[in-house]
Amino acid sequence: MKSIFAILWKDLLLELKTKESFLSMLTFGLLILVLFNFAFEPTPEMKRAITPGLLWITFLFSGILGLNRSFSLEKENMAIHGMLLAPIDRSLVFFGKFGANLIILFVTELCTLPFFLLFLNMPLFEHFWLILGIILLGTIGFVSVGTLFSAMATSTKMREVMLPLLLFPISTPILLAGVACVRDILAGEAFAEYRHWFSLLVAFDVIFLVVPSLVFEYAIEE
Amino acid sequence: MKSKYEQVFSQDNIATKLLGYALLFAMFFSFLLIAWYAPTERTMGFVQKIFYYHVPSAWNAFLAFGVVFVCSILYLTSRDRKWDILAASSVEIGVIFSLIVLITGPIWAKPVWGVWWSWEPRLTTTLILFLIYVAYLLLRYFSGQGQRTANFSAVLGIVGFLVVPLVYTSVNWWSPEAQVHPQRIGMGPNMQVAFFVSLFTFTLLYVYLLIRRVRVAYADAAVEDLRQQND
Amino acid sequence: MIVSLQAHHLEKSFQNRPVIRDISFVLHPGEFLVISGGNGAGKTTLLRLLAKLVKPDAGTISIDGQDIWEESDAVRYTLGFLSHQIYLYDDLNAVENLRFTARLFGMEEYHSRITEVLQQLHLYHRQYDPVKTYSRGMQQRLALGRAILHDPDILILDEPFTGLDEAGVEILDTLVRDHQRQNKSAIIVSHNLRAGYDLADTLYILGKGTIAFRGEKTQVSFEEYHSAYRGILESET
Repeated sequence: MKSIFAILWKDLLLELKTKESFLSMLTFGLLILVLFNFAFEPTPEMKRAITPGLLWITFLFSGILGLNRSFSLEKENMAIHGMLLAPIDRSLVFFGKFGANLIILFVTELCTLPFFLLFLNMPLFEHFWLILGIILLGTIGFVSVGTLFSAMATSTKMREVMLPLLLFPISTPILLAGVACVRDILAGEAFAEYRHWFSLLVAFDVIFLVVPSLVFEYAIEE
Repeated sequence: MKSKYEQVFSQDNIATKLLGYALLFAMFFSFLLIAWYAPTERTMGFVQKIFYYHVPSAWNAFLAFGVVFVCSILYLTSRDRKWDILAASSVEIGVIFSLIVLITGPIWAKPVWGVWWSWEPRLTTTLILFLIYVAYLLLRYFSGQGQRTANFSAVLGIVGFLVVPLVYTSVNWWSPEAQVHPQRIGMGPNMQVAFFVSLFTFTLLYVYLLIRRVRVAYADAAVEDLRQQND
Repeated sequence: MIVSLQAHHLEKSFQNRPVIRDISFVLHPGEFLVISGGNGAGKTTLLRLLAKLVKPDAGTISIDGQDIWEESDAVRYTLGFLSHQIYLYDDLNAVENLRFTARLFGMEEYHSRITEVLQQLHLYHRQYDPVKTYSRGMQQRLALGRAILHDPDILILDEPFTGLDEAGVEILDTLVRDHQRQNKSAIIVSHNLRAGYDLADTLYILGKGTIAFRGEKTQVSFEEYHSAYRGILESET
């Protein structure tokens, strides 16, 4: 529906103008990478072993920043009411926000990947599209639940602190499945080896695109 | 003028008292069964008997969170506050039983396998559940009363429960220690009796605690209503 | 389109505290209703109920006989709401903000309408500047533009004169009279009794969550209105 694109474009336009989410997520992701390298001094074998995990940890932790911003920007001037006053179903607001958050986070992830090549010698080019696909699938699920929870978190007294508390436990399947898939892909395993993990990611995405869109109206209601 | 909450609260319910006494008796009886009737397990020794508390606690936690799921849906569709009160009470009880699972697990594991913690699927899933519902309680107590809090709690109650099968599946596939931890204990007839009595007792305990907790919540609501009226 | 609005035994509580106790009224086509009352009397809550932003605990609101909560979201198209908050994005400019509103309301050819509104608001020369560079008065003007962009049948304005500069007050006046000329209705909350009295067809004063005073301007003088207001305020303290 056109309203979804209107909302999506509005958020993207805001991000293009301020670049707040993108820059903070990218910087934070970099910091995580660097700190991990300092903390663990990985040998080449260790690097290979921790790359899939570190990839997802970086994405999930820095992703929180963008998700928080998604609804904190609606708090200034209570701009969210502009959308609530419109003759549109609340789930459309969800999909619009979800779409924008997904694009912004995915672009940030793409920009972070070269640093994995740099610091961890991650063999990006061999299985580039496969890895990209898995990252996209995992990000979809994470951003979907994250959009729902961000709407709630920014309304609470604990504000942004609430989001990671709510989101990380729920994201466990994404983390486990995402790491397993990336690890198997980098190790050159055939699709059949990690097909079950792949299905889990897809199942998570489907369930957690539908359910949050249905309950989203309760998350932004007064 | 008595609010509807006060009316419910002030009913001195004979049924609940009877339940309380029955429960007391059942727990004592169950303890006797566990301590003496059930045999000591061959390989693990006496500490295995913690299983009779560990597993029913896990069942209670799961039951509690299932109740939260149903009540959350009912609340969002009806807007009747009683479902929200029921859900919140059930979460508290569920968190307590989850904690019991997480404590009895290591107590059992250390003497038997030498490590305090193992990333065994069911234990790990319980840990994740514990974290989700602790976040539920944090959300609730830092948001204050009101419809918004109830709405948010209900949303979390629904999403949190729906993710459980996915969490369990993913942890199960991932778990490096799924093989080490016993998935199924072959139970002799005596053990079965002790186990199912314990399971029944624990379920009774859940119901009793829930009733008591809901009563207290209703009392709180009645106090709030009175306070508003006198403003 | 000519529409009427009817509120029927509305009730609303927040955190168990009743804010709206029992409010019923009818807004006829072309009628201008001005509501005043002390702080916490429930004025803003009432407007938000009418704008379908908040659901009442009890009672119904109907537009042309249809319960707005039974109807689909389309009913919001007939309403235009202006609040204390401007409901705009600071980092976007006027055109981008209004374009967003236009798209949300499913407007097809909105370019000329946006230009028209910006000119009426005397913001056309600043249309490409981000809203955060506007003065408070200009922001409030743009907020008004957001509310009327889709040409609603019922305007719901929460203290529209507050925060407006001189130019803004004139512009608001022009727009409101325009609206009146088209036989459309409005519900306005105003602390400014004089300005409210001038605009109104019907006057309500809210007290303790109900309508404590109802009067038609044709039958009530300003002095009567003023003293009724003072009386209700005093009875609340």
